[in-house]
Amino acid sequence: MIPEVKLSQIGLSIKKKMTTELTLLIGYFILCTFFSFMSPYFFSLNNFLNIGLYGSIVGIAGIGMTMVLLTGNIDVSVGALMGLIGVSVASFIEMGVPFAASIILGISIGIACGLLNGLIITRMRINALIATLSTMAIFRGLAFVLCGGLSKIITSDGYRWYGRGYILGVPVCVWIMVIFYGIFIYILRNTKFGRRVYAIGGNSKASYLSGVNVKNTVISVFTLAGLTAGIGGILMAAQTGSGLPSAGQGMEMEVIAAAVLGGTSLSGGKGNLVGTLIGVMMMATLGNGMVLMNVPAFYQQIAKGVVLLIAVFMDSLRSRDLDEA
Amino acid sequence: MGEVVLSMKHITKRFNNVVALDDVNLELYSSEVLCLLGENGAGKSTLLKILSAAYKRDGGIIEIDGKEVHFKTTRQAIESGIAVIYQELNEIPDLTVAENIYLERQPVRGPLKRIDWQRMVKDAEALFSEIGIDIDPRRRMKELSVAEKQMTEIAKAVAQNIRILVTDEPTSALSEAEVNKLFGVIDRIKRMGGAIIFISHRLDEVMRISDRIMVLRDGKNVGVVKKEETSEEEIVTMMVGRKLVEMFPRRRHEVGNMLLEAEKLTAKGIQDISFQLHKGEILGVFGLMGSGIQKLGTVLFGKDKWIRGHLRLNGKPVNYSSPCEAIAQGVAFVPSERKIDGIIACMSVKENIVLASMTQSKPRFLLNHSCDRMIAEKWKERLRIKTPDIRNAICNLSGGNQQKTVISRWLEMNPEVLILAEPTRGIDVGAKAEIYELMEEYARSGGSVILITSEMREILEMSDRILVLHDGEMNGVLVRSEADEEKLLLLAMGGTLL
Repeated sequence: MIPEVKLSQIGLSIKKKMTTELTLLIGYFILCTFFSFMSPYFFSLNNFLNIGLYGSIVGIAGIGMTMVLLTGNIDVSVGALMGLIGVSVASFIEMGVPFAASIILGISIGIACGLLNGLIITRMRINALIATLSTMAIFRGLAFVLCGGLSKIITSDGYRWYGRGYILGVPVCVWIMVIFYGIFIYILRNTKFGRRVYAIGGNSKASYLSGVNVKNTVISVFTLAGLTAGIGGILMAAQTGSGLPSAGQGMEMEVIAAAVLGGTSLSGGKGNLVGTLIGVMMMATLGNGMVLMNVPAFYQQIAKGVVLLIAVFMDSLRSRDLDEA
Repeated sequence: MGEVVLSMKHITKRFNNVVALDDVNLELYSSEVLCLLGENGAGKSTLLKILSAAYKRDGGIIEIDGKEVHFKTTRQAIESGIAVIYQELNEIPDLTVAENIYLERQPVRGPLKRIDWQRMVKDAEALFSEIGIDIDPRRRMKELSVAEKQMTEIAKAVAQNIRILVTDEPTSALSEAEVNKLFGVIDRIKRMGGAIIFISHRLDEVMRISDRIMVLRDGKNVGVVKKEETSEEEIVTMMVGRKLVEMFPRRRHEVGNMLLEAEKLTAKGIQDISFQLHKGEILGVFGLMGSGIQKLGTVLFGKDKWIRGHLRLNGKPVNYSSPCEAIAQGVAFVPSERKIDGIIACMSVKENIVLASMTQSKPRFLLNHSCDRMIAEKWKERLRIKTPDIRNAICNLSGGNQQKTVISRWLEMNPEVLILAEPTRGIDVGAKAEIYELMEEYARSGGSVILITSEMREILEMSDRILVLHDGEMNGVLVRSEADEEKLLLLAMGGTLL
């Protein structure tokens, strides 16, 4: 009798865990089927690699965003940070800095900006939305100042390889995204840091009273969000081959939408990176499919807004389930 | 006791596949106080939520004055005269008491229908004097104590012509004096013809206030008894379905060396607190609401800073400014507000248990999942935490089992000093007895406990010595053998022993 009970319980817990991801995968499948019928170009390996290429930037930034959301915070400065880093890297290369060093400098700026966000939020005790809204304006302004409002063409082929190159037929960007997801899925699941991220989002007061260093964890999470946004910005500049001060505008919305669509709760404590990855692929596929169907750009905007709304509504439905129980 | 005003018949409610209520019947008469009793998870709250239309029922009928009713919203329930006052009060803190009472129903005057502020205050004063409440209706809601807020909430219900008043554990956060006041109000409403359903975990209160007592167990009716015809023992037996031999297991035993010494500890809210805690000792800290007993707990745990005074642990002076540092010194703290400060609701029982010990466990950065599982299984078994699986979310557990989980979080750390603040607040009798047993066991094995509570029976039965606080200052220390309820209350209210 006893092992039987246990088996059914394990089955139940797997079912519970899988429902969000499973629903998403089914949704994704339906989306793909729809676009396959609507456009003859959609269902091909090449197109899926394109989707991966486009999704990789949102995907990498989504890692940091997911962790920020898990702690119950939000970071709306990631889009502006991507623009700032693209312009910075382009400037470094223009100044004659080797591209590898430029990348490292760019990533460092991302980390520093993320750290700044974290410090503002924890030390000055400012609400994360307001704090990052302010730094968003600051980062964007800096990007324009840095290049005088003009875009900078990047001529370094070595640098552009990161955005346009392929390894074993798969875009470099996608490789980088996959590696980062691997690393951070491991961190969230198997490190004490990861556990603290969930604990703080679940109940920061109780976490604090259990000896969790809430401030340091939140700072770390924002720093990591800066890191992943920084890498996203570098890849974006490498894909476009230029440092555009306006690059990444609205990207924060897409990143947040992908994470929330993937089951990460806006109130913190619930969600995971596998969900975010699926959410990212959904957003990217939606964008790609609409382009193939020749949907005008403005309508694409509207569609993305609607998707964000659906994602947030699903989050609200899920938290309502919890209240009932 | 008058005629039947409310009758709930054959009420059934399922959550997914779990039956929460199974054919439950309830009858309520006018001019009576019906106490609803049952362990946590027995279905009391579910029944009330069905009454107030917060939940939809799966079966059964509700009749008011003999007529069947179908409420779709809580608003409709209020309109037909049912008010439920929950533990979490829904007040608007920055409005005045009068405004809170007459929210959406403010008296108006003139063609522009502007709010008649003076009449509102007058009406509130009249209402308060009618039911015997002594609060200035011009005060802001946030300035009120929990007891005063509760009484305001009751007054609001009376102002709305509520005939059936349901109070869900109104006394759990009140001191004895405040409970007396509240009972006075309930008594007046009863004499005015109101019908009251009262839920409490404190048996002595139940015996005082109720006319009839209804017991639920596992979502089923166990029985209804008249107060005069029953005893505390019978009720407890009805609740748990077995006889509780011994509620308080505390036996006298030797205390060891001095472990913790506080000297003139002063912080915001407490002044010059000095005491010594020995190994194997349970030191009770008693005081009425606002006496600073909770503050003493948070100061000792480093959540709040002390400004003057010294604290010595094992003879060495310690100074910590965060719980993190206090934990490193071997101090553990079970907070009084379990839901707000204790549990992480969406995490599993296992994750909740290992949360505090995680910081010190090896390896330094990685989690050891199999080790975590073993720790959780160990405590689940030792403290009899009732859950089918340690991976279940803690929010699905009853209050008592949640509390046991929080306690095992600290026991796993093997602390030198265990501070328990209101450890049995809002949990059922069975779990209470188990927590007392646990304290006793922990003290017998050489651990030191600081028990901060406003429950007199608990502190008298469990502590070796009792530190009594009044208005943030020490007002005496009672040794177990000489302590009794009168002395405790006298000291807590600022009196002196002759």
